[in-house]
Amino acid sequence: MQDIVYYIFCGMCLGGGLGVILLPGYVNSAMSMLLSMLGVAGLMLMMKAYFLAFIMIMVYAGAVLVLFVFVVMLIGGKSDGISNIRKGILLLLWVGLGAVLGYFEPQIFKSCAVEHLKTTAETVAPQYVEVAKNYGLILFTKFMLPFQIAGVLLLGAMVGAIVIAKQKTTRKSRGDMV
Amino acid sequence: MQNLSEITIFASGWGDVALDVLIRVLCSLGAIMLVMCFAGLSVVAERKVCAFIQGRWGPNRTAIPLVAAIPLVGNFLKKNGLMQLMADGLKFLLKEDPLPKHVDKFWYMLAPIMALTPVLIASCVIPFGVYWSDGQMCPLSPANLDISLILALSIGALGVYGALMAGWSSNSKFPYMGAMRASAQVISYELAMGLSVLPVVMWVARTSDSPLNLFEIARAQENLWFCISQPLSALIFLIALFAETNRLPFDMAESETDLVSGYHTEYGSFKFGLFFVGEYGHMVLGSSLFIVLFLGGWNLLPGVAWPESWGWVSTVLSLLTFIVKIAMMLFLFIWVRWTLPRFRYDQVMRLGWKALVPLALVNFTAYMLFLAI
Repeated sequence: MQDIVYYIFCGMCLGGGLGVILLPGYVNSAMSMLLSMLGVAGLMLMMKAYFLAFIMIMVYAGAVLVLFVFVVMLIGGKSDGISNIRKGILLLLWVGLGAVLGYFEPQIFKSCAVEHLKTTAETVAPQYVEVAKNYGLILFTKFMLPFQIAGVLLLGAMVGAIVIAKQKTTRKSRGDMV
Repeated sequence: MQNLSEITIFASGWGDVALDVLIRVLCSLGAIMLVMCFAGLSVVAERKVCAFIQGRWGPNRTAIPLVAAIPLVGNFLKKNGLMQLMADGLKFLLKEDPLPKHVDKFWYMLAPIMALTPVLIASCVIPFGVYWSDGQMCPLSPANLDISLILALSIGALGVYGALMAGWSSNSKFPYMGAMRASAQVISYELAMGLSVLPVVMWVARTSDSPLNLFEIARAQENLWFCISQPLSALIFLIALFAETNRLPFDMAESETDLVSGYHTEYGSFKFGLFFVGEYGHMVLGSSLFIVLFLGGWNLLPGVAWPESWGWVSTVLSLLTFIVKIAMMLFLFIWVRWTLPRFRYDQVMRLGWKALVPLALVNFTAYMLFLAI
């Protein structure tokens, strides 16, 4: 039972990833990404990291990806003809990365993947990942510094995005005036 | 934490697993039936209440030949429009199912399903009542996760993809604009909704180890409902709920005066029926969330809890209390719909970002300080 569910979720992840690269049209790609994210959330569920799984769905599938689809719909249109080459390269990259990962981390790809998952869920993370309260405690004690640094990074990225967006509009308006 | 039932995919033998899965499927079907029944009944209630508000009688003539002839019951069903419900259902099933040529067929077919399924999935964590086993209080819900509140909010939020993909795949102007409005609105109000729930969670965290659990949240309200101790949070959550379910003061997604019928303009027959049921199901789910978070869940009054000593009588009574509360919430939804005019789109956005989000932030900070002191 567990194996079947595991392979279904893996299929969702990988199939979604392939769909992002190969499917025509931006919206189809974005929706493949949704499938992939749901698959990842499912794998987290199997490792009993319920909180992480549903935060993943809430933040990425429920908010970030809706924004993606929103923007993609506003831009609209199908992807260009050139993108076939790009698709080929991306597909090669997808396979290549998988091969590299398979070479250096063989147990991920061998049949013991499920066993690996079982042991991870039961020994490495016992009771710890299951309860949401532990995340709060550990985030503000053991992982305080990485947490803060990640926050600062995000803030930097946001300021950068605003600066870049601002520059474009001012230049455009100047160009219009000339 | 003993009473949290686990997802037992990790059980040992195939027989155990099959039995476990079967029981869980039956429990989930119960929850789904509850939500679907309410969704169906609220369609009739909508027409009846709207007629009452407008000084009409509403549907009172539809009659199924043999059933209507039963002396008292038949007349009751006929007068209250309950047979209209069946007629509507049959109409959705039997009408021609159009498939326009200009649509993206895959997403066009999938969108109604995407609109309905998240609601049904999320309904499995709502504690509709309580029962006692070995002297311990357990919730009457198929799944009792540690983070059921987050599950309900996150899975419920996935419903917006139904509207989005319906609007996009229809490949025509009005559905498209409806979908854009729906997604923008839902994202905007989700923020206010999440922020308004946080004070409740913090309040529960003082006494419970798993404050994100809906059962624990409802149980913490035996003496004081959160709508009394946190009226502002309740108000913000309620307004955001109206926006999330696309109900009338906020029904930008299908404002029929300027968008024909919004994102499901191109749909007909049973596919439209699925959107329809999805919307009402979303209302039922939202009301049950509001009841669990702010209106004391299955408790009758603040300070009055169903006693353990009554056994299964208490269980039935708690379930009935919850059902009556859902009915009252649905009446509120319908009442507001037929009383208030629709907002303009910019007003919706202004209310969301400039009023509700700052208010929710201030509210959150105030309760944080209050609880810390």
